[in-house]
Amino acid sequence: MESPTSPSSQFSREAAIYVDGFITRLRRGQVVEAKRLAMETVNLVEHVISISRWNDVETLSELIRAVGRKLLIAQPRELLIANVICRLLRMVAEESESVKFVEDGWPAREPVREPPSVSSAKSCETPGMGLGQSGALLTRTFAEQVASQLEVESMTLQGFKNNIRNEIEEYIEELENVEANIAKSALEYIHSNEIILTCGRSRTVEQFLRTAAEKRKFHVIVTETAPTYEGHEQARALADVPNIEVVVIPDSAAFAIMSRVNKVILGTRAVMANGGLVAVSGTHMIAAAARHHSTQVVVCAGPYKYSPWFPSSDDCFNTLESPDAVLPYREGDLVAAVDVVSPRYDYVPPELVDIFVDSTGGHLPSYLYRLLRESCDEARDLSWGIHE
Amino acid sequence: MSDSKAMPPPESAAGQAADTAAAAAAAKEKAKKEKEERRRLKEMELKMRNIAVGDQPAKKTTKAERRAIQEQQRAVKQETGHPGAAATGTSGAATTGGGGARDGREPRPEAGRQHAGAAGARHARVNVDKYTVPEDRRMYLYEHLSLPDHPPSSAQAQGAGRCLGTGPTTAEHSTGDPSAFAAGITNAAFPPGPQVVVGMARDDYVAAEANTPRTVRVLGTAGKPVEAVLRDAVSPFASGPGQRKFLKPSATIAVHPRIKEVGLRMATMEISGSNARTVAMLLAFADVIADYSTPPRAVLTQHLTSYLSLQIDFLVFQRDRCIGMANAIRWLKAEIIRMPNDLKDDEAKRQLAEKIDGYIKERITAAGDIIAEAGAQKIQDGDVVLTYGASSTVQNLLVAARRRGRRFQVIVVDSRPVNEGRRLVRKLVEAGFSSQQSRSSSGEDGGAGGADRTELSDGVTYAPITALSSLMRDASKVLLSAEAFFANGTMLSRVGTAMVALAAHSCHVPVIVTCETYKFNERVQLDAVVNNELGVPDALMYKTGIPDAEPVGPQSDPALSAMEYSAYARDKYSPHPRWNNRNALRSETPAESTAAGKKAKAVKAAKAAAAAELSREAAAVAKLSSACPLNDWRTSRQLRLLNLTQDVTPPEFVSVIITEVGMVPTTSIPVVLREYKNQI
Repeated sequence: MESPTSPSSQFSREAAIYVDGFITRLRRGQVVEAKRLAMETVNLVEHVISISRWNDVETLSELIRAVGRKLLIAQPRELLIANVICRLLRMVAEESESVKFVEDGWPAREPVREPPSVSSAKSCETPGMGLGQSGALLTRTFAEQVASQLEVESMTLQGFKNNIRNEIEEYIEELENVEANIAKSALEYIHSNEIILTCGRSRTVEQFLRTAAEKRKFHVIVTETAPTYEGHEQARALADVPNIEVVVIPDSAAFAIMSRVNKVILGTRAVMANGGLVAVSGTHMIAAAARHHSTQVVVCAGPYKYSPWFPSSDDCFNTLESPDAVLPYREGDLVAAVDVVSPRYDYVPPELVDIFVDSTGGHLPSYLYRLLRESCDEARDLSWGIHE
Repeated sequence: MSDSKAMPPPESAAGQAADTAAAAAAAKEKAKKEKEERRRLKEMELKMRNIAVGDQPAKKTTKAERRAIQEQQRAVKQETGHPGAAATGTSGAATTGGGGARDGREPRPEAGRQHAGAAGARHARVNVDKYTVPEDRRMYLYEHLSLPDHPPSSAQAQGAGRCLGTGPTTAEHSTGDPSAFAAGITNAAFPPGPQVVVGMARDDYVAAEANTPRTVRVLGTAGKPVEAVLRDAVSPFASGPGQRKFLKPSATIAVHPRIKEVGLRMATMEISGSNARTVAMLLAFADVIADYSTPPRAVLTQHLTSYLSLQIDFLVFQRDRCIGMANAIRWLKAEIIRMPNDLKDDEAKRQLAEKIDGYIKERITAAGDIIAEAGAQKIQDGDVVLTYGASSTVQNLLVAARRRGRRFQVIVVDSRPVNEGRRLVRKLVEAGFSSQQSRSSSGEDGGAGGADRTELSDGVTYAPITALSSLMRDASKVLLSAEAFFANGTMLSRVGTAMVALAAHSCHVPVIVTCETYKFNERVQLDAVVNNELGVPDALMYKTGIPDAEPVGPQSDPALSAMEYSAYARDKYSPHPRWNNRNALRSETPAESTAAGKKAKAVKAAKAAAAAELSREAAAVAKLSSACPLNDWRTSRQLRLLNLTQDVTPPEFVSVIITEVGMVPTTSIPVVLREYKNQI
């Protein structure tokens, strides 16, 4: 669904300024944290929508796609942006399905709907494959679909715009509370006096542990996650929580200490459709060490991190960081003579992950692709491509 | 020296037996004489053990004073070239004896022989030229171990004044402080800047703890003296921070200076690595034995072992021995006990020195060469060899393979806080490995883009251990070195090795481990937590690790650079605020200000300046806490830093062990142990 015109031509001048401003900050690495990145992307899209002219669903979708395309050209390996854009596109598609514009002048778009039999068959296809609430999810969407068929509303454009705005507001709210929602189930995973190992800086994991610490007392071992030292920040943040005793270890000691660890709780940057993680570098080794010691690996990730792509190779969403943190430029001649590799992310294969925890509960890695269909199941949403 | 001869024989009073009173008096006299003799014997033994027992025990002399006295006498001795000359003074005899033992290795055969002829001379000198490996050859032999140069304090033919650092301070090691025994040892790990002198003697440290900060003037890099802070030389290694037992001061005094030197260097990690430590220890033992003489009424085989145990205690106290050291110690003790009892001192010492030399050559140096040669055959053109940390054996192996003309890539994985891999990278680059060609041919990212290895390159890639999983896919061989192998096949090595082996195992990359058989141990260890060595926890606080002492954030930031770096938190004697000891700063500053307030109110201006200084420091501290979040970990009860230094690799991860007796699987370790039991 490539648009014939170039993306920027669709933006008004004002919108283009906003988009370019955000892109500049992206490129400068000023927006790094996952949730902030997601929320800022949503905000940007919302803003662009509100200041741009659009009269039909098609233009709206194309507008969103254009924003996404621009952002992805700036940060081609940023899965989160793509996830958010996908989700927004899906939102628009769902919204427009139940809507029929009544006013003249607007090309009334007949919503393309799947026949109910297909969708119901699809949802019955995998009953009980997920854990807990996922079944409820399926039935909810099924019910929604049935309901949407029953009441095809007639609506003005303004009403549609309002609906979209409300939907986006809801999404932002969901993003804001994602950590608290995930943390709700913390007590199911953490027992008293357990020794938990984690790595990197993850607000989700922090909130998860904080919530558990309200009731229980346990130890947390944090690996320092060397070139970025995110583990230091994580440790510092957790050390203020009563009931948690924090121990910082070097990354190399993860295997040595693993025999004493009861559970590994990880945060992640993004989750691939096969259940693999794109997480801060060093995570793979920790997960592998945990697997060797048969320690459970729990991954806390909000739904906005689920990305609909399958990894084509281990490095496809990785980036290299500045080597200065690994081998300081002070080393002069040495820096000139050697290659220094400092990848930002690790790809963790799904077989090393035991369970994903999101706001709806725990899921197996193998079930993830099904969850993704909730937010982004249409091939056309992905067609605007991540590899250009 | 001459006092034992001067003593009259005690039985001289036994002539007249008729008079009971006279007999009683004689008996009393005899008892007195015997007591005197016992005292002298005791004194002699103490002399031999290097403890200076002054003739005026009532007068409390500080160690510094005693050292200064020794110093003068030694200088006199040095000038005359005849050690006996200075020793004739009755009052100074006892104190010279302590120092005399140290000069044992000075190659002065004539003087030694003369002196040996002197009556009652206990410290007969042996011609040491015969068995001591010449200095240059020694350094050549152990070059790859990166042993530091011998400091002036080692007993080579150097001015005695230089030994204790009171001589002309031309060398960068020398300090102006005679009391700092080993102050000459500058820690290479600390970069120029406020220079740090590690190696103050323990009682100096105690004195410093009790009183005021002791600073010494040392030569700065620019040639002008800068103030350096005497620092606790004893790092919190042995059994973890806070749990360290202190040795008795008397025991510390009896320790041979070479042992002290080696111990301190091990404690400050200047000498690290199994091979380097074992060689350094054995060389020190050779010197100790050269200076040793059996006290009267003692048997060498028994007394020397107990004397050595004392030295070993000190070494272990400084830093726990590694398995290789433990095996070498066990071997040496067995050798000493095995010696025939009727051997003369000189002969026994000669034999022992030969044996030590032989052990180093056979079990360590030659073994390393054999391993390097055998291992080099396993490397083929186009290989990508991944190694971890810096090991002398692996380095030798890679260089040997390169010398054979093999073209292969090396990936050096490194980890904090030691970052020793940089050392290996440097050595490899010096040996001719370079990424220049490969970079120009195969694009920018050498490690990540290793897929197209059409052209043979011999580049070096350096990466942190977190990047391991993405690098392991490119590797075709993993080359590790072990600190020890246990009888159940587990490998003890630097922390992180197990992770590398695991990654290799899961990527189906063969893991080749180099290990000399002297590191095989009959013990069994299952995991790394039960028995481990703890590193300095503060090393984790700094983001680039201790060797850099380059903490965090922008280096150009004046606010941060004003703060001084200290490896040990208890170093509160610096005038500058410490990153890791800001509490000391806080407790000191108010005290100063109140004192100033009591004196006069006219110092308000000074106070304001101090406040300005404080606020500047506060700004620095605030900046610091954002840049270095763990900097105040000591004040937080819930936050701890754990710096494990070893880990244990399960046997199934190791494909083969290259030893000097061949390539063996891990299951063969008990076999090797049994075969070579009498030698290990």
